[in-house]
Amino acid sequence: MTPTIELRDVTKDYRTHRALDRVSMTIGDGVTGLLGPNGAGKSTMIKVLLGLVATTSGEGKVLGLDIRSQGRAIRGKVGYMPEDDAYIPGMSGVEMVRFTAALNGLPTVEGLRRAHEILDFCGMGQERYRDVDTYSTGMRQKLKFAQAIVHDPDLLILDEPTSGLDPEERVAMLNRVRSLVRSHGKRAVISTHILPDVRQVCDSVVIIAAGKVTLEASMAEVDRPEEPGLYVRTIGPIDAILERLARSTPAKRIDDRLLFLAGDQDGREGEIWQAAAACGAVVEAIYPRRNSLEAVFMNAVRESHHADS
Amino acid sequence: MANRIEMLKHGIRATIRYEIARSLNLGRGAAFLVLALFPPAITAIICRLPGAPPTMIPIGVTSLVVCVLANLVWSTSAVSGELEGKTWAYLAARPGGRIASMIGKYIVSVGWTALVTLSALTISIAVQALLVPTGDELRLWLIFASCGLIACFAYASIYTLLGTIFHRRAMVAAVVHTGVFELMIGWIPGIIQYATVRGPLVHLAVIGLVDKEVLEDPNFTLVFGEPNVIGHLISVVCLTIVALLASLWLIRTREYATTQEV
Repeated sequence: MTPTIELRDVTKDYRTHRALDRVSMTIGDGVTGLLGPNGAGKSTMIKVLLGLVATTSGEGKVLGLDIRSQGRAIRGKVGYMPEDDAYIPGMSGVEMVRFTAALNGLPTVEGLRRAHEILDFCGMGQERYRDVDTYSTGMRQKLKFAQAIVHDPDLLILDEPTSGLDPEERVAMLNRVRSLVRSHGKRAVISTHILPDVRQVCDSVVIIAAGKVTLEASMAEVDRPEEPGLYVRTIGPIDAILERLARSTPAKRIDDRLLFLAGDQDGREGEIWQAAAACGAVVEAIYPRRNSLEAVFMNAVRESHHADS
Repeated sequence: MANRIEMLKHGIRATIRYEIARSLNLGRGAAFLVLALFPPAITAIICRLPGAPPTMIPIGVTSLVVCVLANLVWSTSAVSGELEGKTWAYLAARPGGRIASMIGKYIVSVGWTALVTLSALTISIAVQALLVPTGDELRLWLIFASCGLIACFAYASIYTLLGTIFHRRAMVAAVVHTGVFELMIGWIPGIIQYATVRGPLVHLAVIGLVDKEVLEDPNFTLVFGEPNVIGHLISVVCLTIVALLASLWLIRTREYATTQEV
């Protein structure tokens, strides 16, 4: 299958400022999180992908289309949700979405039908007929999302889609993205600062810092720690269980209820349950050790700073 | 290709519809009234002066001024307005967004400026007909209305071009251009006048207003040149088309970076 995005040594300079520095990456199916601190080059990368700014050097493809010569075709297949409020004052929500549909080539009646369909999907009721100036942040985010998907694009590029949303709306927005990807075969790239969103919805992650890609990995790879292990949460005589389990694997007590078993613990769950039962304890939870995305992000950013200095 | 043209047509139609919808507001209505009533007010004052001096030139000049001012307000902001409103990325990210948006905005601004210019002209001539009738009002209206319409198309494309080049200081650039080209260079007799809109338009108005014998008078031609209607028309049409094509090319190829990227 064609990779969603392929970049090879892409550099973008704005006068004396280098926004992207020999960026190479390959993004596959599913949802990809594009992470990076402010000014890292995320917005520039999105504009390069959309063909809105030309690269200084390097080459790339989006959905198999060349970013230098097929920008128009790319924009026809991509739904872009900008971070800034991109609404035209004085228009209603449904008019805005219909306008976007027309700019994407949908005829008037078809555009209106599609606008209503998409606004239903986005959970916008009668407020769609209200002037967009009166919309709350959440409604504006929904509107921008509706504009991004009105023409049924293959790829969604969403810039801070959950910014300013309350927890309930945030979950709803992520569910919409997930639904489009899982049930409708779309692909998505989400640029965000909100790491729990990435953890919740993304299949892979790309971290950019100072214009360079510092990490490109699947979420499974990100989660996998250098030293694997299992956490066991128990109720009962914890020291007895520890002593029993420590006979076969390095184990340590974390607190009154939590144990850590180091090393690869694949298939050892049964043994843990038996040990707990033998000691008269109850196992409340068993979960693998995994990296925190925050720590991975901080490390990736720190590494780029070290490399620069 | 047919698909692309169809897409562009939908985009232009939608832009026109929404540009009209969003321009129907109190601010623009007030601007419309001020601009449309300014020439009639001047005409009325002149008609009331002792001896009632001729109003032909003031009507022509004020109508042209109204056309320029209306274009300054509505044509220069095609790109800069979207950049300031942060809607540029949203428009540019659509397949035909940039071109459709610019052509749509151009058509709407020509429509608005034509409406205000013709309103100003019509009311002015009506005022003159009421206060100091000459019996020549229809001819005067036809000549000034034709020149006014041409001016609307021409100034709209020039200001749109200036707006796409100097998008951060679009209005300043348009005012400077008007001062330098239309007010200074426009007065210089010779071929350089063809770089302005005012030069050929004044010639066209004079050709329409002045009697044939006067036009053929060697003294007159010495100052005004040969009464070449086609030549003047071609020059102003070429200027309009070149400016419009240049704007389209720029808008399609130029990178309009937002401040956080630079």
